[in-house]
Amino acid sequence: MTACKVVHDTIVIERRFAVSPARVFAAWSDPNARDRWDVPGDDWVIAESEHDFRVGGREYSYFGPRGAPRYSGDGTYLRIIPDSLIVMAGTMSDETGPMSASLSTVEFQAGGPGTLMRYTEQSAFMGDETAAMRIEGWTEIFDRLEVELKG
Amino acid sequence: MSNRSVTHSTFVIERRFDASPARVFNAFADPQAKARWFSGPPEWGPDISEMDFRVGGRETNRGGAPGGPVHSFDATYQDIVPNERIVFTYDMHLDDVRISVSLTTIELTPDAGGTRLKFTEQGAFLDAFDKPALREEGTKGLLDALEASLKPDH
Amino acid sequence: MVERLARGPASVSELAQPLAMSLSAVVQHLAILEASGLVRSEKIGRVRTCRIEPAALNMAEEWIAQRRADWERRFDQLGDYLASLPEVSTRQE
Repeated sequence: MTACKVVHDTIVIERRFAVSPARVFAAWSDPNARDRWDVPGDDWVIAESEHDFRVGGREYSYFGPRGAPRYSGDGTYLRIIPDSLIVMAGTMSDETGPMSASLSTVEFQAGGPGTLMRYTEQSAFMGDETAAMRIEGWTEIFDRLEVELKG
Repeated sequence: MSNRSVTHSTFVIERRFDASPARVFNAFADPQAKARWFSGPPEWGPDISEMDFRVGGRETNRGGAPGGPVHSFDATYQDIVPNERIVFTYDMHLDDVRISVSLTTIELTPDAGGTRLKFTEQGAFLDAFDKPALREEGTKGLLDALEASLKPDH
Repeated sequence: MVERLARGPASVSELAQPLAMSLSAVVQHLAILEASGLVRSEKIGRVRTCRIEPAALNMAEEWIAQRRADWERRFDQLGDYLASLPEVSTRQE
């Protein structure tokens, strides 16, 4: 590969949920719950996943459109404070190689009747993906998280 | 404002070296070459380090001023393109307290017989979460070191 | 002295008491710590109370500036190291 260009960007997404920080946190920490909501569309599937939710543990999923999964996310949990904070770092790849490396911080704050969740992703984009596309993906995913938390 | 917060920050450093990208890359990839420049200030004495330069490989480096807190650098390589790019995440501890985690990208570009190096660090500073511990461990060490340097016989 | 201040504010004589230092030596020492911005003192009546400046303790900006300074120093060292390497006889065009 020649002249690889890296674009750095930071995205911040805030969502309010009408449940306690403990419940929002559990949707991240419970592997079964996580696999229900952490895909960016109803027609997308997770073909394989590993959520070893502890500091140093692996966070992996192989996912994509139904019938043609082609993306893999592979990372590590760097810091976990129950009901408050999750810090992860890892890469996202497709069959051609790495698309991005990211440092992700999820903060949970009790606020009003529920929880304010702030998701910050600091990324180095190495392919064609952009921060705008990443925001779109997370917006879909967090819509599904909202449904999960209502259930 | 809640004290449960993380500060995110990005900074960039650009340098030019009179050496080929292959040589600059080697200074990051070869443990012996790296030990020649990737070390603490001279007064810290020798660092203890270990590195495994491949995607998914780890690197650790520990050092500090005598009597001060131990600064630990723990990195994981996320992406490596020989002579062009190195991406790693690292966290910094002062003694046992994790203070920041960062995503770092090093890009090497040939530039008129030399190399342009662009370093980008995107960091999350976990100050608020560690405040009491940081005050006790980190800053006390810093202040102790300062105090030691102010000793009358110094 | 700093250890004592880390536990909470104290008067100059309270600071001097456990130390084998004269009061004037303590005052001199405190002046240096104050000039560094790490300790603040306030005179109420005849008692001077000292405390650690909290703003100097936990500033994210300082830590980030420190990260940058560390890397700048390392790259200075990298430049010196690269300059010390022997010339290569064949140059790739």
